[in-house]
Amino acid sequence: MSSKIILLVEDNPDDRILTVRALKQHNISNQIQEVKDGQEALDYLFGEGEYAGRDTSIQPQIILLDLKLPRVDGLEVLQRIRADSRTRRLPVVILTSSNEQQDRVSSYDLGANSYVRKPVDFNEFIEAARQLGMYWLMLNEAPDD
Amino acid sequence: MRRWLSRSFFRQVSVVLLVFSVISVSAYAIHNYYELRRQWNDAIQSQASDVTNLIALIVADDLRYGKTFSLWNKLKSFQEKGEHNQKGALFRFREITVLDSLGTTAGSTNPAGHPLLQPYGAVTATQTDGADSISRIAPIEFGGEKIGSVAILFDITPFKKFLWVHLRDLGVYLFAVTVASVAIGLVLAGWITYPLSSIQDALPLMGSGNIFLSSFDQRQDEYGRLARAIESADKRIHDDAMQIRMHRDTLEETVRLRTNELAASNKELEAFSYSVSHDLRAPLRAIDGFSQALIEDYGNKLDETAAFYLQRVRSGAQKMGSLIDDLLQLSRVTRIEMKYAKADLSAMAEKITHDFMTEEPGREARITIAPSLIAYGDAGLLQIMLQNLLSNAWKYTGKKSPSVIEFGSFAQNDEQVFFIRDNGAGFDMRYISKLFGAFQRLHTEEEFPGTGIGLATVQRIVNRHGGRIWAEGKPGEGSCFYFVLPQAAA
Repeated sequence: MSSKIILLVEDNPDDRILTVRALKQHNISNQIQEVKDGQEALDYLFGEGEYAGRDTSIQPQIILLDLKLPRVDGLEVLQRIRADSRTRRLPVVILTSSNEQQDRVSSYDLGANSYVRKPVDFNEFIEAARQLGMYWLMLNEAPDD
Repeated sequence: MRRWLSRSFFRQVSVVLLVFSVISVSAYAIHNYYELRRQWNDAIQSQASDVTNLIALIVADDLRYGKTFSLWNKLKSFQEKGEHNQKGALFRFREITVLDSLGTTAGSTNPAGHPLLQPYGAVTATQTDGADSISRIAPIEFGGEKIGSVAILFDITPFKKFLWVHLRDLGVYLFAVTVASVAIGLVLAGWITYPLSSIQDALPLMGSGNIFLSSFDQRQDEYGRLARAIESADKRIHDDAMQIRMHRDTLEETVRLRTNELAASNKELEAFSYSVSHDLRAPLRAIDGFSQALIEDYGNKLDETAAFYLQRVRSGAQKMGSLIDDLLQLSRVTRIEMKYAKADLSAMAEKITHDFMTEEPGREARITIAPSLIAYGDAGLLQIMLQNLLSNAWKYTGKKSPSVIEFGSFAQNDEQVFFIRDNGAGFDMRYISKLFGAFQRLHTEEEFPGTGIGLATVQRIVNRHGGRIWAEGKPGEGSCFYFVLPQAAA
């Protein structure tokens, strides 16, 4: 199970805590890798910066990506993910806090797979995961704790 | 001809002059001819009578005493004298005949006899007129007794000839006059119209500030004044145009600056709204999320009051969330660029109300939506408008069973008036002025929750379409919202 990583890209610590809690509470037992901004997300994915030397053959199962991020914003991260052969096919679910139509349009244009309201609305997340065909890969039916 | 005429004032003047001269001169000639003929004819008539009476007097003695030879001699000499002396005169004797009282010819210059006087006075008329001759008869008296008659045939061909010559001279004279007057007229017309062409050549330059009609400088007449007026008008128009151009340039610059400022402030507003929707909501999520976490994770350690308080914290945060949403919608409704198209309001309303019923399946509601309610406007905005109006109707009929909501339209003054009527809580018409104001509410939060922004948003949407909205209500009985949207420009 350790390879089934969920990458959570979120700068707001409250949202990070609440998201992780929501996932855990609903028996998602995957390892959740938290990064605080777009640059860190890219470093993680491509094994650069503080993640230099990471085995980049291991890529997350799914990426939860906030749009409004310091340094490198979410849309740019998405663009870079889609531009690189190593990450091109990774499912990316956008975390949204607003209904701004413009965000949705540009995210879908850049290849986002789905949308989930922040902090992770569990029902929406399950729906997104189902659409991406990963539902059973992420749900741990018998939590060990 | 008409086209030829219309091309030049000079031609028009020429033709008028020519026609006028010919008509007036001909009229004069005809009048002159007839008047002259009448006067001279009268003169001839009376002279002929006088001469006949005179001859009757002269030959009376010869006739009385039968001096036939003397009589004939006298007649002959009259005729000859007449021919000789009266050269250039208007008439001549053609024939003079004298008869005695028995009607016998006593003497005649006509060897063939007396064609004029028949025996026994068969000729009763005292005068006859022919085409080129006239005749006169006078009695011959002696001692108060009529002893015979004298008849004279006057030849008036000289008069006719004279008249003809006179007419010819008159014609020649009048022709000359006509030609002269037309010629003078044409010169005058040319003199009047010629300067016009140089003024005409200058006029296309009007407003350029380059019109200098220097050839008119010395003229004090109408043309001189016209030329100077044109020169000054040209200068004034030129100066005005320069000023206007300057103003326009300044104005364009100002508009450009203002547009830039406006675009900048719009962009700022957009950024602000974006930031509000993201950043303002983040702490709310934390408040709501952690309260929920407390309730869920530590519920067993909290007493009822603590749980209740946490519930209040959550609903406060949620309320603020919906306030932010509504405010954002209100500002988006104002900023959004409108795309006009036909919109099927009936279909929109069907979908919106269907969602209400799905959310509250147990509720008894009678919703009537007229088919094919079509409006012309921005589909996104009209959707928001209907969403707000219908969700109000749905909300305020929540305590009625059944809830009755009707969406329809009627024609009034060539306009289609749409209405959404409900049997809900209604409102007091005294507070109608507050109905569409932002943050204005006519019900308490406990009765009906709400932000007080919905109807303000609706009104903004209607205003942006150039339409009107108004409402009627009665507390406890329901309310009706009417709106008119301008028709599509055909």
